[in-house]
Amino acid sequence: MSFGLNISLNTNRNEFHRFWSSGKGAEANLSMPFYFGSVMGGVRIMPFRGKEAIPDFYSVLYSFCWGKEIRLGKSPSIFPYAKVGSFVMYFEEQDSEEDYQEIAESELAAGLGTTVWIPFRSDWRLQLSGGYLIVLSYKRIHLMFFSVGVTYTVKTPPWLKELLK
Amino acid sequence: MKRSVFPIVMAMLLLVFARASSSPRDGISQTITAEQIQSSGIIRLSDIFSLAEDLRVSTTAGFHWEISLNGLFPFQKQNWIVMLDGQRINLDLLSTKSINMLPISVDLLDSVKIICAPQIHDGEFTEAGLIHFYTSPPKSGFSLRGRNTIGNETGDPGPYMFTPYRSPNVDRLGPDYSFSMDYGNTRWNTRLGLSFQNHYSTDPAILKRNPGLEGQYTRGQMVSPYLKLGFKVGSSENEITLSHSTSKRLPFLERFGSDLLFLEPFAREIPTHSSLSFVGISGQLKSAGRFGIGYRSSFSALMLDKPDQTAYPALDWEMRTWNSRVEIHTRNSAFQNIWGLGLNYHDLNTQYDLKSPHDLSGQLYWQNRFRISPKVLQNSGLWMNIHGDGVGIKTFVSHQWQVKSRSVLWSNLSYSQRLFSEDNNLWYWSSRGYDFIGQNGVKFFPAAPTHKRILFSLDLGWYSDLNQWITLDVAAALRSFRHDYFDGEDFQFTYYRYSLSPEISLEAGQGGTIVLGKGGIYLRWPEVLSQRVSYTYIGRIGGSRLFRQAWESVPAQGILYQITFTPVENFSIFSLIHYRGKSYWPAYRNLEAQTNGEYSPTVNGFFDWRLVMNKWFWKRRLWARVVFRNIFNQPERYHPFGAVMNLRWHIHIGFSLESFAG
Repeated sequence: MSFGLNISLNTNRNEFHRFWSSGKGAEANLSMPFYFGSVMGGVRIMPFRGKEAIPDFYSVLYSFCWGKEIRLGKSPSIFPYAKVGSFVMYFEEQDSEEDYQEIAESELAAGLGTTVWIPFRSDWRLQLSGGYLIVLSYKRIHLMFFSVGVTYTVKTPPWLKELLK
Repeated sequence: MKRSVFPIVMAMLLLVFARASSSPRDGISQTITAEQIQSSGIIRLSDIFSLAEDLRVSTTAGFHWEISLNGLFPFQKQNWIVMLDGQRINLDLLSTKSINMLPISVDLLDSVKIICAPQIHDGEFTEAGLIHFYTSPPKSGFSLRGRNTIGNETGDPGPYMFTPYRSPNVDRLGPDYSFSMDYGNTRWNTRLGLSFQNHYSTDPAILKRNPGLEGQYTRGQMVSPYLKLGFKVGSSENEITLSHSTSKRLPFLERFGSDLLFLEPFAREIPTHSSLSFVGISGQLKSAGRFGIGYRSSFSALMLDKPDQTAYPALDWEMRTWNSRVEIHTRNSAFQNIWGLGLNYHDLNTQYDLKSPHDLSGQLYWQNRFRISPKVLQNSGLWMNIHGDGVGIKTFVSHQWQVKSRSVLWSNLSYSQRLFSEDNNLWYWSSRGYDFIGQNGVKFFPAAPTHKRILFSLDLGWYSDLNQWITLDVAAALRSFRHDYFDGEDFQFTYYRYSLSPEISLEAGQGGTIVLGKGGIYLRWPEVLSQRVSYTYIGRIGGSRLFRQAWESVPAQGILYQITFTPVENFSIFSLIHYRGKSYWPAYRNLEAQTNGEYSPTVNGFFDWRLVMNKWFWKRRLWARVVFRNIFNQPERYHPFGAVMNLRWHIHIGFSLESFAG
């Protein structure tokens, strides 16, 4: 199984970006083989700054991906996947001069993406990802992301294999 | 109409690989197994209805559900019987039944049997159908079970709530929790359980026409503790059950809210604090071979109370019910006989001035099972309900003929007389003085029916295992109703104050005929796949005005397609596609013009696609499930005033530790 850490960027611009601009995000993920293909679970945090009087929020995407790793030649591999998750948005709304209240909204999100893994040391890989995500709010939010990071692969311990079976 | 990108590819994949998933049927009943319940993503007991083939459903907010079962009754008449482990439980909430008030959670279910035709089942005559929930018996040693469910419905405003694109929030789902602890040995066993259900009724369709409904009353909670004790005394096996389900605020829980009860004759929601207390005892004394005695006795108290500080009217309803049966079983090589004696007693505690708050009836019945020949089995019975208002006679005879080794023809013929008192509903008690409707602004003419309602019913069917992989079944039914009663309503709508019909009258002497046709296929190949597809059609032949109107609201067509893919032992994918046909609600015929099209008396047909992924861990002691419902994001609505249920998802996690330290 592989642990990954990435820096993420939101790369597209649309109606949503009239109201918010995105900052750099961070992502952690864990991938492992599944009965068919591989699965990857992850958490991505990304800030969005509101324009004019719109409040800022930071998003936390808890996601689950399923895909199939395809080897390209001797070492690099590509992992196309389908993703589904919960896109949670934390807002801070000013109630009064002194008082802020945190408002959380969450919505189902789904998308597609591809990850390229390039090994550079025995258990380490460079991880490059690009993906498209649609957040299923009443007015849909369409986002594209690009991430770069590293992964570290370990052998799944026997007790964990037993638990997951 | 909103669309989802989701599942087209998944659908194609599943259809390529898929085969039928079957639910055992014997023509007259359908049994839903624990395996189906676990793999199909069911959260609450009402979700069981989605697996039933002969059933149509209606709901406004998604917590209380009305059903129409196999052409036996329309949504106006919720006379079906609910049983739990051999005990009848009264869940009558005026004009509806609340299955989610049963004190058990879905993970305790061993099976659910749906009786779809009139006959005698466990001491009850099922002229209006019966749904029997069976819980799994505690295993030897200690066992623990728990489950947590969270979910959400898509279509919230998200960040756009701060922009000109703001839209209303839609419903949250859950969280629901349950926990149970069992102990069993050779002589006795016990189960202690607790379940919580949270339900939000915040759909714009409900809030907009209830502008006075405060936020806290749109959130409902149901807490249900449950205790069951089984024990043997000599050769007898006995069970005691105690439970209490309540939506009231509990001192040890920082929760508040109400149970929003949609009262159809009122065409509005009324916040209530509903509670159901139940005590039951049952048992069987077995002797060597040919003779046995069975008994059951239960008490239930169902209360509808007014939440504090609400301007809504108080229903002021506390129905206490005693229900008892004693049976003698005899058998020989050819016959099995059951001779039964029963008693039903209702006592309505209310401040309204009733003619009499008490209602007592006695039952006598006989049931016979006789193997006419090696290939023909006959089941018949006679049932009498004796009440101060008269005697209702009910009878049935059914046959099963094994035409070939894998082919069965079956039939069920029934005649029943139903007394007004057997309905035990809002109309019956209104005729006896429960004047809630009259004292809340409605002219009500509670004319009691003067005749017994007559139902003549005929079911015919055939099922056959064509080979080891394919089973076919077809059936038809005829139901002829006479001397029935319905309420005539004609709702007018005005924004900012709820509106209702200025007059409601019960009209007796109604009748008509319903015909049904249905068919289905089970496919079980290859081993990893099972499929079941079924189609049902309900049609009317003639009928009086109100009879036709009542049945117009029941969708004529229904298709159910279920697929289970189990490639490896601890992982499965379940998919269900349900088509619900269009329906028309004449009582709401004025809505479209009066609401500028916002509400309509026509509820359009839709496809509901559900996808469930199940994974078990640690030798099935832990499990996780992801459920997506209404993947096509069709406007899933069941009632002209009802919520529109968008694409939604749930995550369930749970554990089951069985038979340790025993």
